[in-house]
Amino acid sequence: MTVFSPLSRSIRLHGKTPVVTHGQLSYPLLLRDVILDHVKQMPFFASGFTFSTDKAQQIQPESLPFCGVYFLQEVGGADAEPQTGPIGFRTTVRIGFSVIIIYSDHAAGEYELDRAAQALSGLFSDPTLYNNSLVRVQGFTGLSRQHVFGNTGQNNETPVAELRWELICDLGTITYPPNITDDFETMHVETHYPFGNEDTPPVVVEYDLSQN
Amino acid sequence: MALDFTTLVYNPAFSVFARTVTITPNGSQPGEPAYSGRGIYSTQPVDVPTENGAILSDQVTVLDVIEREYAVLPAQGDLVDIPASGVLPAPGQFEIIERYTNGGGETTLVLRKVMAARP
Repeated sequence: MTVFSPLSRSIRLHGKTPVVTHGQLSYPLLLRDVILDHVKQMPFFASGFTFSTDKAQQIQPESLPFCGVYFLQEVGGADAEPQTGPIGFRTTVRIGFSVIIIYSDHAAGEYELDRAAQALSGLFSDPTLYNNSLVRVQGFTGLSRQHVFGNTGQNNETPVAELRWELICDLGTITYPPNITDDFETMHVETHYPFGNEDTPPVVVEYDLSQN
Repeated sequence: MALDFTTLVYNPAFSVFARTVTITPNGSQPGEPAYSGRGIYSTQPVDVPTENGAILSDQVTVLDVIEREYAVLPAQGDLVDIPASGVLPAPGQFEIIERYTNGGGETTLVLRKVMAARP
């Protein structure tokens, strides 16, 4: 069974190195988890919020106030020279935030959502996020925000207000290098003189090629 | 000849299923004091879609009232307090967010819970 090399953005492992089979998450999910860790540290979200990244689990009213950080989409665009070199994509990731609060007053609830949005925008001034050596965000290229109050009919029992905040992150070019197991390490060169020159000793040279 | 559903159907049903409520008419009659009434309390599950398709599990809660029993029907903005009834626990205090009539003498009041803000 062929085991493909793990995702690597800067280091190509030597073919003789034992292949590690996916010891880490992909960069988009790593980014989501790093962002979640930063959001949990924010003072606004210190007041009893329930956090989740799992949209398959239904949110219960007992879990409110709630903050969900979701991986929405990864889009890979063409790299500078797609016809040459290893396969790579200029990658952007959409991360979605869902902040659900309970309000006692409609207007005050919307102002609270506004405070939540301002708290989340603190991510942009956090160098430990955009300088994170693991996820290496190249930049933030888009943002959208919505306030939603309950279901479509607005007839649900619990007085909830939701902030939907979406962030588009540029992860730069992620390459998928080929899995090379037969590295070119040694070149053996011999010269053989034509028939009739048997006394001429052959020249034998071996070159050890540097591996990096 | 049209049937009088209130007399023939709703009154007997309400005698069995209705519970006493207290209505504070902040919306229908501002400034007027709270008064007692009765209604049939009912609640059904509803899924509230949130970001990226995640679902918040909630309820749609209604109180059915007989129109003939109210000089001024409760309306949006009124508060409804539903206490315990026998072995049934108290659902609590609600605000009327919507109402609609069935044309036969019964109005359904759609309720939203009154809760302390979180956070």
